[in-house]
Amino acid sequence: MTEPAESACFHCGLNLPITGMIKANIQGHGRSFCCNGCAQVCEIIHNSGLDSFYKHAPSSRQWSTPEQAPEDANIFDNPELQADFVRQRPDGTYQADLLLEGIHCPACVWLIEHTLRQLDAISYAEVSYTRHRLRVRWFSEKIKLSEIIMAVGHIGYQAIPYEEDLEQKASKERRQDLLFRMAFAGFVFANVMTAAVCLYGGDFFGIEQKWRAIFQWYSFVLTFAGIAYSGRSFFSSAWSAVRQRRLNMDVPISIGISVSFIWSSIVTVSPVQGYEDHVYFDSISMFVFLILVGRFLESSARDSASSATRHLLALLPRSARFLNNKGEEELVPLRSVQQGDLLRIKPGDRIPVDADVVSGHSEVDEAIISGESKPVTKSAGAQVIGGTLNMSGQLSIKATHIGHDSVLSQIIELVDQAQNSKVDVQNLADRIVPWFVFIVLCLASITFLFWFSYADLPFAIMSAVTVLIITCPCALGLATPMAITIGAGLGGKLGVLIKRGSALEQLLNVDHIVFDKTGTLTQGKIHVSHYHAMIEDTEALWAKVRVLEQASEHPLAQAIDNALSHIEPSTHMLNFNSVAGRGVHAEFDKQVIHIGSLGWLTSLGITLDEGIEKQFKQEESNGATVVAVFDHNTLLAWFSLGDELRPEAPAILQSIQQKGIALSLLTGDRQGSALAIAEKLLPTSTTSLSPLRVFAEVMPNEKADKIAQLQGQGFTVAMVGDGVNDAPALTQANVGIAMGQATDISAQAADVVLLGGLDRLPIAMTLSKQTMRTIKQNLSISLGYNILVVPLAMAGMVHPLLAAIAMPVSSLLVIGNALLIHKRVKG
Amino acid sequence: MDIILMLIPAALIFSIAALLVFRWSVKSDQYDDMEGEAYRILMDDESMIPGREKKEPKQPESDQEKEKT
Repeated sequence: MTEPAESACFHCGLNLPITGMIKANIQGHGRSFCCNGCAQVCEIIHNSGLDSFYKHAPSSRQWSTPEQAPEDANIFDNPELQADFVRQRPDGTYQADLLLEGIHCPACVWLIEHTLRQLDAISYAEVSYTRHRLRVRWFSEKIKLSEIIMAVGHIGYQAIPYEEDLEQKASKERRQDLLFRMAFAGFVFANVMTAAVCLYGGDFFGIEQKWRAIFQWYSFVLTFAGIAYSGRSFFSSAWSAVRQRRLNMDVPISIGISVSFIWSSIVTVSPVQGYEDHVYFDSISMFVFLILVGRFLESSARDSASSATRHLLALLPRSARFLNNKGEEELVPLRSVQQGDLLRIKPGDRIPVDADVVSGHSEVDEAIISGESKPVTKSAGAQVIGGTLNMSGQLSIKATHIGHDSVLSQIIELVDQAQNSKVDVQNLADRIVPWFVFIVLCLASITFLFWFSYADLPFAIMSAVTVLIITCPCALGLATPMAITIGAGLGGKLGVLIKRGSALEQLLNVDHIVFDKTGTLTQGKIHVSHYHAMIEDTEALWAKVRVLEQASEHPLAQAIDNALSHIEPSTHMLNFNSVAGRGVHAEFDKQVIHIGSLGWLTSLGITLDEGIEKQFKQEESNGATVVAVFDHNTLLAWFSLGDELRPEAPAILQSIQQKGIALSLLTGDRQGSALAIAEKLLPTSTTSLSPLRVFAEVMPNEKADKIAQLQGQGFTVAMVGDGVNDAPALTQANVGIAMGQATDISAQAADVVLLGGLDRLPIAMTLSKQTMRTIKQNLSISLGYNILVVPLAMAGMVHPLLAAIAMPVSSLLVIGNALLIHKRVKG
Repeated sequence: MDIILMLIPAALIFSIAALLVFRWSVKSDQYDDMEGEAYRILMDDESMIPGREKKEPKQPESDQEKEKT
């Protein structure tokens, strides 16, 4: 049985916390878990008899914490809402497609399918691994959709009803069309080849004219069908390029196909006695087939990357707590919320719409919009943004902007527009094409003129045509797509999602990388960085602090609770009270203990030592938040909380710097704290290379301008960021690299998504380097092939059999070389 | 040799039939998930044993879990 090491959680494989790990007895073994979520999920899996899930799950897994079953799942039983995504089938069952969050490996697919199939009420359940989609059919009298969603939720996955939009339907149809055209080309190729073998046999051993004609006509008809159906996309693309006075890869492809086809047709229809009567139908159909295989692989690689990032809808909740006239709370679907409606937001809810706060007091995590990890305090009169997370208190809000007017939808729309208008940079092969076409046409003309003056007209035409046929750019057309497809596929396995193939080519040219601070170089979560007690008996004090903080719902309190997790909480707490915006206090054996902000401390008239006060100032200027613990007149202890650097960040930055790439740090922090962080990341004393540039106090909406500025200075810029606030900057950069789970808008805006974390960045760069190297080699192979065979064709010495062998061999060499990327990146 | 005049159309008919079957499989979304299917065959080892597909005695426990929430 494959199991993670003892130090890792049995379910998710993450490192076990030193304190507070959960032990459970499962299948007769004592198992350790990192959290209650994992333990629960594992127990449910065991109880349903699906333990072999753990046999199939990769032993080196490092998954995120299991998703929670959604609280508002029964909203999806609402028939009005179901009309959009549930279909009744002729056999009486209902069918819906659900988008799944939390799929890590094929074992997850197995687990979900088997969990659902065990239920009698479910007649069909199938998960698409690449698309993270579940199709389920159920008997509505036996089970409700919400129960299915909960069943999936209990084993650690979140399922959201999903409805294909028009664009996705169209792209699916395009994909299926391409697949079938490829298959048709294959069918033509196979049948034409049968005839071709007979014809080549005839060349060597003799063949009656009647049989030769039959085989030629047979190939002619099939090849014509193949070109007309499978190959027509080359011609339409080439034609539109020529009309715009450009040359793309489809132009030489079309020239090659049409010249070979017309020549072979003439030979078939009216054979000229005594002259070359060979046909090239086999080469044409092979060529169409191979190019289509390349195109299909390329499009499926691109498709799987983009469907993995289409989870934007997960940002907004599907339901809202509506307050009706009587002040009663009702759970309603989000789409029924109108402007001016009163809604209630409980702690832990995502705010569903842009709204004004009517009453209540709470902290709201606006990180997805502002990138700031510290929560913002909201009370009556403040505005809240849809998609942000309510943390501590309850709020009543009045909806102001709904649907397309909301801040989030507008950002999404902007990013979509920018991403669509971002033109693919002309790749290396495209730059070669015009020269290639020009030289080939020149050589063909020279051949024609030469043989016209030294031999007769038919021989001149034949030699010129052979030059055009043999230079058919099959290998040239496959050189780039094959390398990028294989590079992108390998990237997906290594946790580097390539969304735009040309990003792999561009990443190599990047000479300036800009890092966003929060969430990219730092963890993006508040941690206690250090804490000090002013009194002797620390053990008892921490016990009191811990129980107080456990009672508090404040996000900072949670961080402090985590830091003290090794201490047994005290049990003598009395009169707990929380003061909004300040902190909490309670009585312990007649002593009142307060935990709260420094402002609270001073407002109660407690004075601090000068030394301590100076230290607090220092901490705050470094971007940390200080939380004080005090009784009625003295400071007892203090905590410094902040967002910590990712431990791997300095080493990664150093290794990139050594490659001679300039680095910048982009942050909204004050200059002082930004410089302090830069010094921690790349100490200026240790290296003679150019230091980390710091852009501090940058507002979220100015980030894209900073990138544009750097581009104006002649840099090719890559931006590494996360969150909605970085999305415009990611689109502006030559290569946008997003961090994280590929679920939010930054992943939509980016060209590359690093799924594993910051340590994937060097991998992405190696991948880019090796892919580029392979592309260059592939181009040399295909040009080398031409240099080898063109002189022969010009001399009029090419037998069609040679063409039929040399052309596929050059293509196979290119494909084989592209497959070597696997070896080069890993080895 | 004249038999070829029969065999070629016969071969064509067979391959066209194969092509139509392929078209049906494309249209019914069977090529939508090219990666998952490759793993699926490796996963089903336990349910291959007859009678082990459903674990009846353990069912109630998982149902209880559901009712709790």
